[in-house]
Amino acid sequence: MADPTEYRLARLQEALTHDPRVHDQSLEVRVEGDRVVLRGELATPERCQAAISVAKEIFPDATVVADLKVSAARPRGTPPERL
Amino acid sequence: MTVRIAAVGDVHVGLDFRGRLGPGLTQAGTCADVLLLAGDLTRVGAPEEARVLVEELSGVSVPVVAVLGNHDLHADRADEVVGELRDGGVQVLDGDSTVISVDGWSLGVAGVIGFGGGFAGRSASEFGEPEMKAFVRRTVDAARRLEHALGALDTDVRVALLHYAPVPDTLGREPAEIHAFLGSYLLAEAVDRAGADLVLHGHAHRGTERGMTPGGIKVRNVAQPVIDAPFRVFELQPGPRQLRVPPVNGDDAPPSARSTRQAHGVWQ
Repeated sequence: MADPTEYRLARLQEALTHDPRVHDQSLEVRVEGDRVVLRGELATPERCQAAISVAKEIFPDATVVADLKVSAARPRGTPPERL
Repeated sequence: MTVRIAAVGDVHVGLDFRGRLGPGLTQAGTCADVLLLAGDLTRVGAPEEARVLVEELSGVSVPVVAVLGNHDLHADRADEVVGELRDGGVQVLDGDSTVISVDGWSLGVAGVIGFGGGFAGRSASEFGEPEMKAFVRRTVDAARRLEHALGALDTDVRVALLHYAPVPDTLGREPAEIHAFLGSYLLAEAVDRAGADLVLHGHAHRGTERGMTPGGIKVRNVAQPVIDAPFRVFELQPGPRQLRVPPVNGDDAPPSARSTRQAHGVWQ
């Protein structure tokens, strides 16, 4: 019998935390029907790709939808806030 | 005249980071007087990652002051991480403070990682299992050391630098179920008792930027995913110094005496 979806979702969150390619606890992960949704921000494009790979490994039959942004290498700052 | 503070947290530098962060951070030297790093400097707390961060910071021409975050503790090699950062010229605070001179004004920064426990009315107590008591004691101790470090500062501007959040205001879209792992009201209470002009923290990637302690001190979440920039800059106008509340736990030295020394953290 396959793992219930809920347990696999928990395993995915653990895997994103411990997988050396990702090491992230901040991503929002959820299952919507036959889709697994990853949402959030990671430091590099490689970490985003790795997070998708991890999700596919744990949910091989699902479509992985990645709403991920890359945070490193932002070009410039923003106006100062006067306090 | 203003004191300009650049700040960012949660840069999570890995060995794959060379050249990616430096170009953005280097701009801090032209638009700020100091760069503050609010923890989670590395991916898993490997000294090699800290060395990459130091390389990325090599073009920053203003003082860099940091606290560690939970990711920096993961490999149980925090002393080595701190050693790499210090060798690279980064001042690392852990329950202590530093004073930076800015055009005749003094900027004091008191820093501590902090810890979890939750917020008023929904917080953990030092009760029950030894593990639960140890969890809460860690936060109580962090708050006590923060209060001492802030209270020991007699500077024109005082900033509290944390990794964990002191208020729920800046947690934004973080699920309420994990708020207790993102910060503690004890940190805000410490700041309100000792006084400060600004509190900076990271850790809550899905948070929002702006909040305030119950005592009215501005709080800013500078986690990089939140600010969506290499860093944020805050300009503070030095004003009349606030009435200082003496630190708790027996430090009854007068302010003039307290201003001449600093608290000392475990990374010293």
